[in-house]
Amino acid sequence: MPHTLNINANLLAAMDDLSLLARTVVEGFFDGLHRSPFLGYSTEFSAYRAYTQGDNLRHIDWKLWGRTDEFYVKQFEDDTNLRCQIFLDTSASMDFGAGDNNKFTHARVLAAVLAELMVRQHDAPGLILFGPRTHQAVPAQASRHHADEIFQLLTHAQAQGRTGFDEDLFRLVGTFSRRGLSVVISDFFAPGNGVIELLRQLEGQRQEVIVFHVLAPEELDLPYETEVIMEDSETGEELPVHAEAFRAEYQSRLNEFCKQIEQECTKLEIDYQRLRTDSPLDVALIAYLEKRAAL
Amino acid sequence: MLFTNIGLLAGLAALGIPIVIHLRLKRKKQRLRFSTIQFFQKQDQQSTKNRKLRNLLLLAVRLLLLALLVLAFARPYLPQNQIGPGAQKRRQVIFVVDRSASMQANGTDGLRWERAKEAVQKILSGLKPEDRAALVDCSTRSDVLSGFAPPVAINRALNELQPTFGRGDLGEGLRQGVKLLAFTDPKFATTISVVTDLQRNECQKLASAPVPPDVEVKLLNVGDLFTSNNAITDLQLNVQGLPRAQATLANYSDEEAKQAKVELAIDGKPAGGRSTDLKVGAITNVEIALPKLAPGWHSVEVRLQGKDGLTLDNVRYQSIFVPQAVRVLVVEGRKTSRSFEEETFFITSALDPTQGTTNPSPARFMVDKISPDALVNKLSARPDQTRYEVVILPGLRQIPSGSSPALSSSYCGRCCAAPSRRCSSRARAGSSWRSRA
Repeated sequence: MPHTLNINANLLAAMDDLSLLARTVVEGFFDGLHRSPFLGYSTEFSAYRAYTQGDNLRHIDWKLWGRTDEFYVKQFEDDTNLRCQIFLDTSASMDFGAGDNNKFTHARVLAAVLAELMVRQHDAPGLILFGPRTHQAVPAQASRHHADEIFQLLTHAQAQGRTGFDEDLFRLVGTFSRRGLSVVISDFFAPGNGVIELLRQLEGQRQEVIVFHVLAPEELDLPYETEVIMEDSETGEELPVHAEAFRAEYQSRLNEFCKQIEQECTKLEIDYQRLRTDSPLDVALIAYLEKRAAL
Repeated sequence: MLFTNIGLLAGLAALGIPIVIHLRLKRKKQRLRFSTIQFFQKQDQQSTKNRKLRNLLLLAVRLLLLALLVLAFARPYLPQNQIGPGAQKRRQVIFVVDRSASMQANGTDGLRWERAKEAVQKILSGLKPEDRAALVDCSTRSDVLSGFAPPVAINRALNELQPTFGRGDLGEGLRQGVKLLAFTDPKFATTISVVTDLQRNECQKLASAPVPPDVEVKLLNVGDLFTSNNAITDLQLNVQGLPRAQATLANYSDEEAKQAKVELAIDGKPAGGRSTDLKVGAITNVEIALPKLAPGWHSVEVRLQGKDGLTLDNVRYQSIFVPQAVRVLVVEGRKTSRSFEEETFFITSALDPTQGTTNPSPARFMVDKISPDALVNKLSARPDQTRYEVVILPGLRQIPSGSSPALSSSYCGRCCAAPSRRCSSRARAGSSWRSRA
């Protein structure tokens, strides 16, 4: 395992081009590895089948047409490659954290890096944004430039509204018919039991799930001294809080919340990673690659 | 409830200060947009309520402390007749009345004594018939003029009083008043009212007088804040040596007397004067030279001129007796131009030291000096002319022989012979003539 890997999302987040950022991160990450056990997932030819109307013309083997005067479509193993769905929380609570430690920035960079990593490994990354409403932003696909669409979408994504584990999200998850990998990036600050339900449904849909629980340092440490009026970023509700007096109790409650999610993940055999936004991304990438290698 | 310094109640406006601070601190709360407040709810709401309650209590305590401080400065008191349970309590008032000479002074609102009487009568009129009062005199001596009696009787006794010419001691007067309380009935609410013009020398022991804790002491000041009061406290006359009058001046008031004029009159006629500055509380001596006075009794008056609240002590009288000088005839036999070579030089110098000087002072002896040749004529003067009471003969040898009968007849027993260096044993033997005569 690399011991000098140091990919700081905070510095890289300053770069506007998310694709360049993701590729830089991935290349830097692989350069840091000596003999990567994660390489070798290349697409290989599988079989020919007769062309039928509606097939993509790009997949027609024209050389074979020249020899046989028949249209055949190449079938590659990429059709059978792993479909990776990246669930990104776009609720307003994600837009928290001062400067480079912003949770949403961190989560977007992580999603972009994972997408680039998946494309390089000939997996089919897809992006699902869930916030006030859920939509399949980019379907899972294994094309070479598919990651660019994901980068484009991530660049313009905004964190706003309340977290909604609504019917659309569960309906979307219900369409996952094939075995695959799901990466959930969220702070899980949502009312009710929607988070656990989502994870259970993903597990039920034969998805291998990795949970990245993103938290800002301010949320973990509560570094305020005086009495402040806390305004909920999602509901707008206000509450006067004496931060210094309540810090210990707050941290206890937050840890209890995180532990509860972690325990649920353990029950469902889901990998759980808690990420501080001021920590390097390599922890998340290694967690992903280990999970991917196990598949 | 009444207040001694009711103006200080304006300090209650300062109650706004903690309120403003409280409100400003409240507004200074930082507003913070946080990802979620789900971890702050419930218990922190309770603690916030507790904190708010604590802050309000703290504000209330601050306001209460400030209000109490202002009220303490305003010095509240309950009038005796408004005390709840004491409303039925009978009252007894002891009046310690200053009757010193300064009470005769005329202040801006009239005579101090009249004002003092009015102040006492006002209190007496506020007493009920079942209440009682006592009167303590405070002048040269402090005595109880009237024990506890109905207010009407005290009023009657007060009307018969007049200020004295002495000096009072309010401390002693207060002690006498406290003594009256030795066997008093505890059902009475006691007040000691000290009626005075607060002269400096009268109040010195006032604070040291012990007063029981349940007794209220009121000070009724009938004096003026600024009244000049200068006095001549002593007059000494000296006729020996350089005759002079020494007057002791004092300033009892709280303002300096500039160029206070002291005038001297002898037998009713102005005989000199001088001016001096008197600082606050100062006591000083002023000397005025006496003119040459004829033998006999004379009245001397020293008067302090100028505006003064109490003119009574601005004058002092003294009498002086100037004795008749003894006429002495000295026979000087030596003729010389130098007086110290004369045989009678020491005798004449002893009898009249300032004789012959430019500023001679009155002496007990009036010395006339003659030559031996003129002795007979001098002794045989007519009866209506001044006769000498003492004749001094320095040398018997030189005395004319014809003068012995005159000496024997006129100055029997009042003639003496002064010893002389040239006096022979015979001459000294001749002194037996004096003893024979």
